[in-house]
Amino acid sequence: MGNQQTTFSQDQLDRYQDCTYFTASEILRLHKKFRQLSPELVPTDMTGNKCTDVLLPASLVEGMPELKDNPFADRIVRVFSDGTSLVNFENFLCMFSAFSEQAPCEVKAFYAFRIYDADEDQFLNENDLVWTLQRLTGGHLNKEEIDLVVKKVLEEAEMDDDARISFMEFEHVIYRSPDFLSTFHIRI
Amino acid sequence: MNVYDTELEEHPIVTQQHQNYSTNGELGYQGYTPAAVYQGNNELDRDDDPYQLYPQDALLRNRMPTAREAASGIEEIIMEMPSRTIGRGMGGHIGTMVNATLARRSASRYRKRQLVTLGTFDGIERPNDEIQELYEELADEQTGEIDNEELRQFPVSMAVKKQVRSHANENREKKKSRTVGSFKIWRYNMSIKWRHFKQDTKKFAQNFRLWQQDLKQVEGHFGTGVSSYFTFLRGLFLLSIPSFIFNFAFISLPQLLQQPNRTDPNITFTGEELLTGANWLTETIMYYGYYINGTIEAIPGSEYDMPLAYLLATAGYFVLCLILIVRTTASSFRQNYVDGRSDYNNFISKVFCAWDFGITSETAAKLQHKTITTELKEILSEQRRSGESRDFQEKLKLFSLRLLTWTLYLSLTGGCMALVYFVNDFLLDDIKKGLGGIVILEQIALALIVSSINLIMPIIINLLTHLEKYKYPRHEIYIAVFRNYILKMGLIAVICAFWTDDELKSTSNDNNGSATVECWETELGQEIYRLVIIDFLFTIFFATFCAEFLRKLLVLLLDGKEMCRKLDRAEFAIVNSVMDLIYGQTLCWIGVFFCPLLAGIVFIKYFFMFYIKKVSVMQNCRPSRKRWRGGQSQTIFIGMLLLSFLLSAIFLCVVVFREVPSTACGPYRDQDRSYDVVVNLFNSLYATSSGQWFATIMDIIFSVWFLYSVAAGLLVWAVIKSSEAKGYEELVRSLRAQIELQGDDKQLLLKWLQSTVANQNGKPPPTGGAFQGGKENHVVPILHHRDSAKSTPCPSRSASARNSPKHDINAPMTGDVLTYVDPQHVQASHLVGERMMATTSFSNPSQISLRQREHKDPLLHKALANQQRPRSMFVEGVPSSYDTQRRNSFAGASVDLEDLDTETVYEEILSDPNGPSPLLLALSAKVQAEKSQSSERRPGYGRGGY
Repeated sequence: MGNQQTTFSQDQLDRYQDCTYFTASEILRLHKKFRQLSPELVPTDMTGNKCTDVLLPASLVEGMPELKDNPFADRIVRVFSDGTSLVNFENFLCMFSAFSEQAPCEVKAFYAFRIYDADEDQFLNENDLVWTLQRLTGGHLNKEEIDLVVKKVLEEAEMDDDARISFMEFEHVIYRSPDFLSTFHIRI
Repeated sequence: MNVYDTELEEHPIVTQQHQNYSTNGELGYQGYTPAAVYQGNNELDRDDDPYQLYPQDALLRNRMPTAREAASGIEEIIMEMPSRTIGRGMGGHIGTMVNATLARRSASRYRKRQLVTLGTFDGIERPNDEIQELYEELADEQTGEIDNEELRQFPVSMAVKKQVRSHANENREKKKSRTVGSFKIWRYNMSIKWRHFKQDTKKFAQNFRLWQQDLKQVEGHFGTGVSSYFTFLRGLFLLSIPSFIFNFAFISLPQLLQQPNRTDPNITFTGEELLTGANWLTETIMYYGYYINGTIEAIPGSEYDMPLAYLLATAGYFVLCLILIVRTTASSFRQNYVDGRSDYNNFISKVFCAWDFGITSETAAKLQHKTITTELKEILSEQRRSGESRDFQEKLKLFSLRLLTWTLYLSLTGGCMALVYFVNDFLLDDIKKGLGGIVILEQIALALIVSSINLIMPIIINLLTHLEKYKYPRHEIYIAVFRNYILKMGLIAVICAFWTDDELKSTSNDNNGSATVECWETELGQEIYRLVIIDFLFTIFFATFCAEFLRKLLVLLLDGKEMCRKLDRAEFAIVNSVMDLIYGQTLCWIGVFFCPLLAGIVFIKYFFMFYIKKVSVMQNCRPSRKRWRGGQSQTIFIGMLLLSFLLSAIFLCVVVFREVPSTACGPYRDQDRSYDVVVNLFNSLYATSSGQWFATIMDIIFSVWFLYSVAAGLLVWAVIKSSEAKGYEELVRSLRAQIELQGDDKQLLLKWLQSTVANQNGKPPPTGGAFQGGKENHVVPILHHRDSAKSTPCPSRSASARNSPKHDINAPMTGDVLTYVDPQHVQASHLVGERMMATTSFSNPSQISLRQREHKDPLLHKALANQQRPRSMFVEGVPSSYDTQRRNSFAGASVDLEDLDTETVYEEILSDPNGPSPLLLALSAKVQAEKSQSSERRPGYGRGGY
């Protein structure tokens, strides 16, 4: 308990518990993880504005154990830092909240869409899909095969024949994929 | 609603500006002011609104009071839409439901769109009106409170969430200061307290999530498949804790307080009992036979009826398990089967759900790349192959092959079951006659045989199933699991049948040579105890030590040698391991009546199993090359667990209600049936004078007419539910059709639009309000719709969005055009050098909004934006200069309205305060012309068409 007082104020803890899927102890654990990334930048005492003002470069966050082997690490961090390539603790919390077990499919689908939407045009177009597939397969799939898969994916998801997947379409199909919830999940 | 009144008054400029504009408009929509819109909303919001079943039309009536022709034109258009025709064929009920669902859909779509703008993580605080709108969206209508769950679900940045939260707090303060009835305050306080209580308990439960870090570690290295085994194990472990406490507290503890004398006090504890469960352990609280048939009076003045407690505690244990398992099964089923359907989107799930985000090790990540590649290749080749069906000869070959494997499997299973039965018989004779040598070996022989079968048979089954060449690997797994399960249940059934056989229980003085036992319940309990223990040891020794550890040593030893390139560390056998767990748990359920402490033993077993398995997996195994479809398999496993549970429950019911208890031991030694203790209890209660009322109640409950009426009630309930389910099925089907038709709508609308524009091409540009503004009026409509929403408030959306779907079809149509301005576009437009006017020149936000409206023709914007920046369709507020060049290219361009389905189009058409654009007027005029030509009036048209 004493530890809680020094890291976050009660108000902050309440707020973060209300806004994320984490409990106080999990928030503290996440803070520890955040601090481990750069002990000199991140203070132990996060009261005041430090949760928003202390910024870590995206590269540091991408290198954390939970993300370093993830082919989409840079996208994840980018989505949750709004392209600024600087991450504060609040965004860090939001990120893991979206990946937590309690987060419902809606939230996960929303962020998954943004992560896969590499060119950030709010649509998953062919380029996004090719990009995603290259990341997924680590370059083990050749060009024709990738094109074929992209074609098939579009066929399955498409409803309005515009050769790209909108968020609605994405949500619609992703709800039907039983594996989505279990795979889009990072334990902290 | 009063809030909005005042809000409107607070912005006189809004109305004024609009009126100014309206009088300027050349098309004569003077009456169409925000006030009119507002009144329209007000009317619609009333619950007794006669039009509420036909919101589209009601809306049209209210929203377009002065532009009758145009409105009716739009009505015509709308009625022409393929999707509008759907309700007609079906009854009104479905039609309404479809409508309600559609409304909900569009409301949520509205929400989603908004999120796109707000979901940014730049940490910049949003203006107050945005927050207000968000708050209204989230807050509960009555209390004005925001449910934290809603807040969490809203995918916006923390900065925005914080703002909304503090806004809610402020509102709460305001509410408090208002004078409200004391009952309301009390109810409000209670609801808040209840909510806090729920949150606290949830948090408390979350804090005690067991083995979280271990699971994370396993998942990080092996993915969700292997970790699903551990989650399953953890679930069983947690289930065994309350079970053990329950059984121990109500059965074993009272007996411990008053221990009966042992029949043979010379037997001492030697240690081998832990393995055999016999000898010294026979007469302890471990087994059924030890419990007395009287009352326990260890505590002076209290009487504890042991037989009754024994029965009720076991029943309670089963009810507890039933509740927990059924709940888990239901939620798992809902999650994995009802919501998600396999095969429907094969590629989608293989691409978007392929990466296991939980993986944190490099080797696992590399392997996952390969796995995904292989899977995709497989499925591609499968697709190529799927066209060619197997010809007759092949089919015949396959059929005979499968027939052969099934016969083989069935005979093997039958053989195993027979073996177990005869070995049991033989051993019993042997032991009873005092023949044979080593007693321990004979005691555990059966358990050894059963465990060996359990070890070897799954391998054979897997092999057989593999031979059958199933098209999908998933089917292969399911069939193997099914066969495995049958085998295991069969073995348990044989053992149970053996010990409950009537011949065994025939009185001990028969001399026909067949063996009899004194206390068959204890014997069965011991047998199950042995099975549990030996199964545990087998799992540890063979499945873990030999198959994983020794193999790893072998691999390390032979590392690099040519001959053993192919030999690698073992993969974790998820299916077989989970099957073993189910088998163990079934044993526990069956044995718990005969061995009340079995739950405790199983509890210890699971605890050690978790750690041993975890260490072994982490040290000895390698990640699987095949991907494991976690979700559905998990459901199947839980389903099998439920089935096992039900089978065990049925078996125990048979034992309690039908089997004759041993006369020499146990709490029911003087009863004909175990159940008789309950009957006796009732009888004794009837006898007492105070029990009269109880007797009456019991009489009623067990009377024929009462049971019949209960049965009839259940039947009716089932019929209602099933017809409801059918109705939902129907609804789903019609909604599917609706979705398809929406696509058709879009196509149709586009065709019309294109042909209309093509017709206009070459004519001078129409002088509508939308195109009137010159250069100076072009603005970048940043966050435009928020302003518009404010000036034409829409109380219904936030308030009734969740509660009454009937109303919120109004919501998206009341004046807010869904706008997203992406910063890129603003930049791009600057670069293009379009006539831009700095937004800053309009200091008043409502002024900006009005200016923006003046120059907005959504359809045109869409089309133009589409052409200009083909990939970005969220841009709407493009500067609307309508020069000829654009117009020409517009007409010729293949306009595809991404993300613009008909709902949106209507919304945008209707929400334009300037009235419909010239383009639209032309469109409707065209439709009118066509109408008058055909002069055919559709039946059912008019009030909604449903």
